[in-house]
Amino acid sequence: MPANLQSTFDVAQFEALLASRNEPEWLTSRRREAWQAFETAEQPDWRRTNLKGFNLADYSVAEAEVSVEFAGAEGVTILPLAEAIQSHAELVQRVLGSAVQTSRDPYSALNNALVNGGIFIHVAKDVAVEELVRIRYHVANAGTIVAPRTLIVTERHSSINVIEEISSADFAASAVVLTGVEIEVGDGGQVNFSSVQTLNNNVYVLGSQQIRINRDAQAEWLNVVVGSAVQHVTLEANLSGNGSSVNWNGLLYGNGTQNLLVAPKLNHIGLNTEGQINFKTVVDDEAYAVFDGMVKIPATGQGTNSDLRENALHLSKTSRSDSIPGLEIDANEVKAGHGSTSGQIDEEQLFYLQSRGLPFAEAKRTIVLGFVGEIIDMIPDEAVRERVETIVAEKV
Amino acid sequence: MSNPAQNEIEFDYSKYGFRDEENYTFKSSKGLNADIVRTISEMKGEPEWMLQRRLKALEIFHKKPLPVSGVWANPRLAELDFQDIHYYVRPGERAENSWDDVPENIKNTFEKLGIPEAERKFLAGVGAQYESEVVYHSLREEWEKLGVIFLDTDTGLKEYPELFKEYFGTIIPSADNKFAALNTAVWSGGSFVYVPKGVKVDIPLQAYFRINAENMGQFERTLIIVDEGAEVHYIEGCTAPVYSTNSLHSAVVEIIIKKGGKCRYTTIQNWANNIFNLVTKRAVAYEDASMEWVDGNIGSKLTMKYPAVYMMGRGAKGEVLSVAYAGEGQHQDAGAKMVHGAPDTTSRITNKSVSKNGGRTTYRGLAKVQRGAHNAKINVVCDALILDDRSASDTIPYIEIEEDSATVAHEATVGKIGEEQLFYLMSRGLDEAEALSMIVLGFMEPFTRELPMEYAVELNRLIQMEMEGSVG
Repeated sequence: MPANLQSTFDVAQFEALLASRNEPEWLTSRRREAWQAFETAEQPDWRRTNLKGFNLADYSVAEAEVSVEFAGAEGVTILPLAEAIQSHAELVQRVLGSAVQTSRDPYSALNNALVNGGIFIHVAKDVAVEELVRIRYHVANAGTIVAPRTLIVTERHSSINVIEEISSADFAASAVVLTGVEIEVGDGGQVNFSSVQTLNNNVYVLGSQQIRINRDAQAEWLNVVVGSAVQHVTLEANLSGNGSSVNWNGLLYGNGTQNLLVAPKLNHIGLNTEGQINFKTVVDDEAYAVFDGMVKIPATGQGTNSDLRENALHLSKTSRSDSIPGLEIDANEVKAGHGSTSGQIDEEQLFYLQSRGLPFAEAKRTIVLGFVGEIIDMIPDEAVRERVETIVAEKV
Repeated sequence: MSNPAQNEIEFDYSKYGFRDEENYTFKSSKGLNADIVRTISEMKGEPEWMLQRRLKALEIFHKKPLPVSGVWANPRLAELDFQDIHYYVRPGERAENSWDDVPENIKNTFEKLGIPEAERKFLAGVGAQYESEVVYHSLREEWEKLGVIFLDTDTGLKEYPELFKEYFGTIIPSADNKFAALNTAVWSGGSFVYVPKGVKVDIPLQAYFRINAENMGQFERTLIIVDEGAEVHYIEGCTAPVYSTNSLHSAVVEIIIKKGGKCRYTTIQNWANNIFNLVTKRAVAYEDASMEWVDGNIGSKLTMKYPAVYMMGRGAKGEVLSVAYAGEGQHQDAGAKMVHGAPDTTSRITNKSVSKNGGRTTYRGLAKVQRGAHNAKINVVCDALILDDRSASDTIPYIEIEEDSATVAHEATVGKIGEEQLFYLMSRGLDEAEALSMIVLGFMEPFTRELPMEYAVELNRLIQMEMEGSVG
């Protein structure tokens, strides 16, 4: 176990926790495996995530406050994960752990050992739901480690829109969120999923999200990250089915000393799949943001059409952004490209706005909000969008 | 076949009577240890500091893990057996390899490229090239008048010990990577170049002209110093396949360009496909200096090479222009590194790669702007063609920006040859192979047009042969 993960929470306490949960045997044994992996894992070589000062002994296990807003519709089942484990055992067993993989690193292992709280959504076949499902995980107290998980499984030809926000109270000490999102989109269906992270600037976020998109299915995926002290989140879109597609947008906005990393991986596994990635990054003050992307087209991915765009905007001399838009291509009947830019505010735009009478600060603000607005406007829930806009407005 | 390079040198050298047999021979036993390093140093009659440097580098080499996973790493390196390699072979020994042992496909390629008989043996590592010495000696007189030094590196160390010691290993320290450490421990041959202040060398310095058997060594070490306001163009390699019974080539090239100086380094290498080609190349460009790497990679089993420019003075410029061609069983893992350490620096990377018959190309690049390097500009363009369903291509750029005033653009495309282009050419009467090779040559044209004419012609011919599947 890496030194900074030496926990006061030992195996005896872990066993006591398991005993208190009264879960089916398969889950108990998975948790044990994950705990063992956590205990024996080595510190991963994360060169772009600063975990200095992060010490697991400072936190105790708790559950995030969960709220769900949804009027309900025929064919849509929404349950606390703890209930779904009993009522939808087979589905949960299949999807749980698809994004958060025990073998990946000690934080993922710990995530699977502790996963507590969370929401399970199932949509029956041929059910199309317009209404937005709003999930919110809220971290109320400092000094806690929470591990909420969102699972979504849709059957064929069904569709649903979901937004998940992870937020926290405005405490001064830190907390840890081990996140996980695991989604399977059935044949010919569609899932629109927005993930918005608005934690206070003292929280650590470590986690993984994955969407598996089956035959002729589609996903609209949005990742907005404006909060936390340090974030390290792997995102994976698997275009597993022939003819599947994903349209994927994101925003990272860091200021102060925030260190925000997303690692989007787009895998074109099926035939004739289409993927579009469009991420924007803003860094100010001493912030450090990382876009560690990868588009993979294995030999099975003939007919792929893939495009990745990433644009970074620097607002201070001391900020840093890294961008790694990778491509790994083993098929020849493909069209794949990526573009990445990094720069500061366009002097000409600034000059133009100032010449129209806007003071410098206001002109700069207008330009930055214009840059991030394209992504923020995609947030489907008004209340969440307003929270993000408030945070961004404070940052600028 | 018309070939300007050939015309220059196609006359009967035998009448100059240079055929003295090199009969001093030494071949180190296989494997690597301190004794072998001592022997190499002793046989070369090196000063003590160089021996110590070699021994220290050997320790570093043993300590560093083989980069098979992670960043700037390749799993194929696991196939290397460091104990099954001769680390030092004296020139005469090379001639012991027999022409009969040279693989048929290499011989055929020589035939098709129109490489003269005498050169074939040299290129196949079975004989030294004497004729080039004539050219070299006459040019050397010209350079000496200007104060230009152009020697093999061993001689450079002997004749200019102080200049050598001042710069050797300062750009690429032994601890830089495992293969730089290996090279420092067992280096032999390579070029030592010094161009004095304000001197502009018109004729490219060609390693080819300076070549002796030793230059074909596996562990070449090249050191180029371009003084203030000086200019030079250095060319290494040629398009003919270089065959060697040794499976590892690991060179180090260090370049220093002082204020206002210019250097262009052109490489075209076509290693036989049994060879691991693991090269560290780096230049430091000071105020208003400019460095251009023109780098062509064809052949080898695995090439790992990322020419770098560290722009450490205001207004410095860096450029890498490269092509890679990966055929059957080959992996070209090549790219570029641009590090902006000073204000108003600009760099450009243009990479073109083609994979065919199960080959794999990887572009791996670094674009870094350090804090304080105001107004840095970086432009990166990578294009890859994948010609069949067995071949592959990766693009892995690292972009690290610590300055708000930097302007960075990276653009990459990967795809196949357009059906329409192909159809158009075939409708004009070309067969498919001809049409394909014409499109590929056009794709590589931004690179070839920067080459001296004779190299461009040879490279085009070689690519045509590769495309027609007629090599080997």
